[in-house]
Amino acid sequence: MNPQISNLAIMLVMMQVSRRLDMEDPTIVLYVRIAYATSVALAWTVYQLARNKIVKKNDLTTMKYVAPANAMAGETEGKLQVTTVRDYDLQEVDSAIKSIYTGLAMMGFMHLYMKYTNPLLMQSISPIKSALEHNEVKIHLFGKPAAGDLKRPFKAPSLFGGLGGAPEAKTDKKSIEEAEKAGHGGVKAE
Amino acid sequence: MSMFFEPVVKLSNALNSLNSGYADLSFEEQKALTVLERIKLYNWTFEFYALGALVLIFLAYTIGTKVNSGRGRQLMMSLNQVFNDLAFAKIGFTTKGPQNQPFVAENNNTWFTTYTSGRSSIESITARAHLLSRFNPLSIIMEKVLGIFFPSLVAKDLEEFLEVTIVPNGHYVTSSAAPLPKDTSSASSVVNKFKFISAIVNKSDMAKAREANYYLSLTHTSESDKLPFEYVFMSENNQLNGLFEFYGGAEFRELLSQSTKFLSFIAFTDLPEEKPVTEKTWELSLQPRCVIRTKMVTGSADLARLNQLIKEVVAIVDAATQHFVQNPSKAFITNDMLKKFSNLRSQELAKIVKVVKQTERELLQEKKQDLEREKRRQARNKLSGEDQDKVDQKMREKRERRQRNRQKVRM
Repeated sequence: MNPQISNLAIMLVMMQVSRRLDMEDPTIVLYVRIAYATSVALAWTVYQLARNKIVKKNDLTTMKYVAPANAMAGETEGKLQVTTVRDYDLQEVDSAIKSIYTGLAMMGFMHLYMKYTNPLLMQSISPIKSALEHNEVKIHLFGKPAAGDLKRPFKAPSLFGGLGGAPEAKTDKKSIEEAEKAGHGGVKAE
Repeated sequence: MSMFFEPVVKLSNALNSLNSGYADLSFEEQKALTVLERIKLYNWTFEFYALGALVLIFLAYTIGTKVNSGRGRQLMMSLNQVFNDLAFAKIGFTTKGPQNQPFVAENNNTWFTTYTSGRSSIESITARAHLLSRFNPLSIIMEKVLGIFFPSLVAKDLEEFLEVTIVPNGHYVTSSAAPLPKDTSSASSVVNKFKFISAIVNKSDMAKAREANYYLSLTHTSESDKLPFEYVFMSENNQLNGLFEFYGGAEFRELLSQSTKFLSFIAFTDLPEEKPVTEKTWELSLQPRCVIRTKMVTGSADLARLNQLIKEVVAIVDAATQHFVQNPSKAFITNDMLKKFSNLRSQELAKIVKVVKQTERELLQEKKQDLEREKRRQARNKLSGEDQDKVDQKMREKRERRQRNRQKVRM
């Protein structure tokens, strides 16, 4: 099943569960907190294990691809990315770890400051689920080959299969050669 | 909003409550106390913490400045030693006093610069090092945390680095005792032969190097057996990949593999680091040179490797200049290759000129439109109220018609 759809399904189920729980009961709040903290800690550990494997493998094979243009940053053309498999993998894992920290900050604000417990319950499955479904974890911890859907650069996941997904990175020789000599570097920041 | 200020108010109340016993005394009661009694009665906890914070800041400032100063001095003196070994005539900066200043430290020991000149083949070597502002650990932490969540906000040159720029001069003499060449007119044509881009880049810094340097963003990246596995070639033409092996040999390759920890790239280039935006800045920024960029180098072993690396690159410039001056047929860079490289420069310049012209055209058109709008406004003001309404009606109809046509085209 598409991970985005299963996330949505889990969210709906957890919403129903949270409606049936008494969020004013300190014991239930404690259990919800333990569940959330365990999930986040497990997810963090999984990413760190994958990270260690990546660093240990130290795969310095060069990777070139043209990343899609970021319309939010006012880019009209895609940017060439020249990196190594190790650095690409580390970047992916680090951004996943960063998203854990962002989630923690958000949940901390919602739960500790705004005193909401429902979001904590709803987020108590998704961190570990996302970690286990992460491409890097599949490759480095589960030993799946980096081919097909796991071929680098990874495709951005879309909610409805192929429709409406984010634009993909180009890996064809022509696009890379064009972008390689485009001279987009050294642009002075405004 | 009160929700956001609540913790601040709570903190403020807690701080005030520290001295509630003292503050609750009436004026007469306070007046009756001696100075010693007042000191004893007053709760100094907050003041002690504040003083503690000030002492910590002072300590961090002193230690940070000393660490930076020590590291910068060690690096700069080591570079001065290399310049001395390479027989440069002038090392460091002239001062009013009798002794030269070997290096300059700026911005509270965060930027260090040294310079040397006066040698066969080399016009000058400038080394600039940037160190973290260790005297202000709070700003370092804040910038790092900010960098995690907003990488685009992080200022350039935040990290520590050393950049050594070696500029060739096109003059070649066989020894330090040899007389200077009488004919200096050919020097500029020799320097012009260094107008190419060829670099060896550490794989860990490829993306950053291409992003930060215009000249590297014009090159083709390729792996090669001629290099240690940790590096790639970035050259404007694949023929140039042999340059380092041709002049540097196996020793240079060995040195590269020993320097993977700190070396970011070694690049021969004549194009600027920053992308030129006009024809004038393009012409002003052309300067054949070799750039060695490394992370901050500390420790005697790494410093020795860095020194050796600089010596090797100077040896490459020496050998290339010697070939260009004495035996051009033996030189690695041929005239045919130079013609190809010149084409790339013409193409890049043409791109810049095109963008400039387009921008100028757009500005002119905008100006023209503004003028027309002003003219229409003035003509409208001259008309009577009824005529003005008619003109407005006409304009409205025109706009609506255009919008309808546009919609039709879309459908």
